[in-house]
Amino acid sequence: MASTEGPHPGGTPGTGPVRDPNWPAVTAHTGERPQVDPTLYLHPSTLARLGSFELRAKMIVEGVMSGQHRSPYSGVSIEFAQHRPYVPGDDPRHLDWKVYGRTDRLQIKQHQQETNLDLVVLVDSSGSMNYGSRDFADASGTADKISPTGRTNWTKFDHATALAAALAFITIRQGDRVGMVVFADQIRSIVNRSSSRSVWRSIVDILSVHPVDQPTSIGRLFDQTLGKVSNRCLFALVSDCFDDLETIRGSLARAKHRGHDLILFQTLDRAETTFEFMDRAPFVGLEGEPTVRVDPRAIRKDYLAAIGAHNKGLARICRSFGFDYQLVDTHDWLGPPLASFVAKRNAMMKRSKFG
Amino acid sequence: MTFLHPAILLAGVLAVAIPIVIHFFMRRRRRPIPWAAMRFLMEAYRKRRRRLTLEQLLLLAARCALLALLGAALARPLIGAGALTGDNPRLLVVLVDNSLTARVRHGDGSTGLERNLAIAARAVEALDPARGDRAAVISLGAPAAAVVADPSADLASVGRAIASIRATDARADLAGAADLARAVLDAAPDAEALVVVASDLLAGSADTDRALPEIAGFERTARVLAPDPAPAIANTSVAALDPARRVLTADEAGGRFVRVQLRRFGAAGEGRSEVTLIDERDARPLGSGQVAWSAGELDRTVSIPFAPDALAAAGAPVSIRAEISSDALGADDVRHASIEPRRSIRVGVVARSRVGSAAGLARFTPADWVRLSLAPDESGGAIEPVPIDPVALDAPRLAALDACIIVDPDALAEGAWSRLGAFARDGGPVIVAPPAGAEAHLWADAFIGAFALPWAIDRQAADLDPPAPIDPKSVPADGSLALIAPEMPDLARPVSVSRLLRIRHETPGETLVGVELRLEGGAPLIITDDSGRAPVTLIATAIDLSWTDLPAKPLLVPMMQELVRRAVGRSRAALEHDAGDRVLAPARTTELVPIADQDRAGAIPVDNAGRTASPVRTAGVYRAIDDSGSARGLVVVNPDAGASDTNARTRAELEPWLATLAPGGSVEWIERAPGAADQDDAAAVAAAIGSRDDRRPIAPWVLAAACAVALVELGLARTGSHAERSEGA
Repeated sequence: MASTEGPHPGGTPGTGPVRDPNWPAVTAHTGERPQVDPTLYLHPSTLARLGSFELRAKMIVEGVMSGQHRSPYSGVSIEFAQHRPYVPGDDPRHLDWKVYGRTDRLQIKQHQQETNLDLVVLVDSSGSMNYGSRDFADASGTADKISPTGRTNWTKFDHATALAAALAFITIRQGDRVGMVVFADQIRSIVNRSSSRSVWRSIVDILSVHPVDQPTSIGRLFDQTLGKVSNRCLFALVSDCFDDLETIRGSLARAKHRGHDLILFQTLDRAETTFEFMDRAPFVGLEGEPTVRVDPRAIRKDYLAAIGAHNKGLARICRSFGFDYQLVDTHDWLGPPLASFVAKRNAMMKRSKFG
Repeated sequence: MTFLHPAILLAGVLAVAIPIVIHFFMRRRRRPIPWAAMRFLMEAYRKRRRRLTLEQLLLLAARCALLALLGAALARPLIGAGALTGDNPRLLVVLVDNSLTARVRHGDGSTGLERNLAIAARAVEALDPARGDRAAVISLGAPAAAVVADPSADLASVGRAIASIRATDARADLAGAADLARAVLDAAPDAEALVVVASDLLAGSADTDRALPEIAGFERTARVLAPDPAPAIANTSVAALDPARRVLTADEAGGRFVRVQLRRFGAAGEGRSEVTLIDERDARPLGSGQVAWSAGELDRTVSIPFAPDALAAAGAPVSIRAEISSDALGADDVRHASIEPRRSIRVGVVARSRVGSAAGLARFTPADWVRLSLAPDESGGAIEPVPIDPVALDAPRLAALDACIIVDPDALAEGAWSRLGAFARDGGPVIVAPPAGAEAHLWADAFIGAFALPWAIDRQAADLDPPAPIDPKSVPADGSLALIAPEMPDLARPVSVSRLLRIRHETPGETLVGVELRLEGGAPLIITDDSGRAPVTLIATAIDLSWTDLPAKPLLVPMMQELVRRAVGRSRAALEHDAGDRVLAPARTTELVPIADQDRAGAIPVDNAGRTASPVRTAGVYRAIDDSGSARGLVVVNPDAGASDTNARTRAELEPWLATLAPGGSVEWIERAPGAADQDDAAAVAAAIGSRDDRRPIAPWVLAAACAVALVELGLARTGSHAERSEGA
């Protein structure tokens, strides 16, 4: 894989991390740091299981190479799309003479142009992603007890790393391009889109040592990302989405308006969804929030109601834009839910009239 | 509401702090939990914050209240007025004040004792024999004594016992009486306890600075009844009579005076007191003095000289008294002392016999210097030095001495030290100086052991280079050298000490007591132990020119004379006591007989330790008689000066003080109308004794309240734990 730097994920083909100038420089393939074994995050059995699935864009995306995905540009192609009435000026070569013979009406035959899929994985590296109640050894594909940064727990960010690697793996296997944006309060790192088979390793390399300590701003992420993407893409947003629902709604609306597809993987730790703490303790925020001393049993019901309402709201927003939403539990193996999600997505595409 | 055991209540109130401390302690030691989904946690917390805070406060309040209520229940609360009563038999303990203070005569002509006896009698009369009431009687004259120790239902006998109580010259011992009363009450745990303090409660009887012990035990309360405190009465007392010399030799000129201290109580306006010094052999006045009091002046000391030959012919101890004109409290207007006129004082000088001869000053040994200082006039004087060889120091020789000076202590055998110890215990002063020629002073161990001295003495003499001068300001005002203290700067100036034995307290860090003279720099030069019947003195330097130039200086003569005279006088002063003590008699005394009691009817036996078998509560002069019937000397017992205080106490001062007798009980005053007759007092006492007390214990109710609070606490704790909600969520 080439290592040319470029801040534009939709730019010329080529990969390489682009980092915020305020952040320590991390270059994936310059040999300045050792490569991380991707199986640390993706178990070989998970990779094997994902190999039989193909990720298809539900919407028509535009690509620069012909492929298995539909193109929005109707024209000469081998796959029929639709008829429309002939108007003066149309190329008579596109007239469907069979229809004219049966109905005595001039109809222009339109075809779908098949193109490739560009997947951009948006990975949340805000401080809240640094929470994890699962042992690293339990979740790691290599059963290592500590992470490359010295942690002993499997955080949501670790799980997002695994998920991003899995998505990249699937995408590259079907010959599509994949890129990555790491964000927190703004874009922190970028891996340009590429169809190189090693790009998913690059993704793991970057994410495995990426700082996870800034506040979240999904709104700013989309402002910056959409400004850099010129073609329509499939975005995979991997985040705990601890942000205002209205901000998220606005961001997804802008992505929808620009014609992009999006899959939201809301990544949560099981402790966050069950909140089964028993003893009174001070809770310290990971994004600089004030400490709260509270008896967790006293507020569990209200807490679960609040986070449940937030999650339902997220799912509802995604549905309203026709995006897919998947809740990911960091205590579950990544393979089964991801495979289930891909299968479900493909089935939906087949049921659709474009499938 | 009152409490039987307020200390437990206080403990319960203090225990309230425990849950609060635990609350804050647990808050500190909990480990923080890093948390990502803070927005939802804070949202939930904001929603519940008020309720959670309220739950916590209620839980904390319930726990605090629980502890406080438990403390209150254990403190045995009583509600209502008065004391517990019913138809239970009553046990009355009457404390009758027959102290010196009770001798005071009130404006109506009655004495305090008469009033106290009347109140005691009325209190006993108010009892009901049919109900099973009993009474015990304790007199307060120090030390307190049980007049009727075993509570008796024979109230007539008790009345007679009260009538037999006589006044004493001792102070009131209410604390000792409380101990006796407690023993009486403990023997009858079921009876309703009544304690009547039959006293005027003037300041001399009611020493509120002295804490009183409890007379009621843990499970019991008592009613304490006392008459209204009497108003102040003007009184002047002879507080001290201190002869300058208690052993008076024929040639003594400077010591022929006494110091008399007068004190005033009650109203203290301008006035005049005349003090007369009287020879008690023939009531002949020896001298007199006058004190002109200014307004508010309470304390004066006057010196009264007497004629040089006034006591010369006595040949035996003479009792003298200082008296002032009689006032409301006549018993303290007289004070006695004894003076022993002597032709001479025989002082043994124990030293080795001199062998060989020398010339000049070197021909004088330490014993020579001592003898010269004691008898500078070769023709014979008031002090007669008696040379004694150390090997010849036996009991008969010691018995013929008034004092003994040891200048060669290293020559004494162990048996000789034992005999010297016995000599001191019999009242013979001993003065010791180190030997000049000894390298190691091993005798110091035997010396300390023989007299049980609290000192540690170096075995090696310390060389002082340059020689240290004497500190003339180191003479204490009550020391043996006090009489020559004014001349000490001139006398001490030429003297220096080049060698001496270091003396320390036997316990490191403790301060030496009894230092009579020090060197510049603080090293003790002369020290006296005055804890026995006769003083024991150590001079830290040898009376020798190789140690000090003291022998060749004028200071030696007055110094040795004063040491001997004061030491002999102090041994006589040990025979003067305050009423209420077990009196120390002269050696080999078997009984004390009042000096005016020719038929020995009032003889007081003396035990083998030399003290009277029982306390002597009556002031006076007593003859010490041995088993052969011979007189061993005089013993003086004076009124306790502390009991002369006739200032008034207020109820506010007395009530908390008396209340300590019966925690949780009550102090009730027997109202005494001004100018009331005995009958009125009787009615008041009967009313007080017969009154009923409606107070009821409410400990069960408080305990029930504590249980209720405990249930509430359990409920709150369960609610606060949110266990059910957690399981169901």
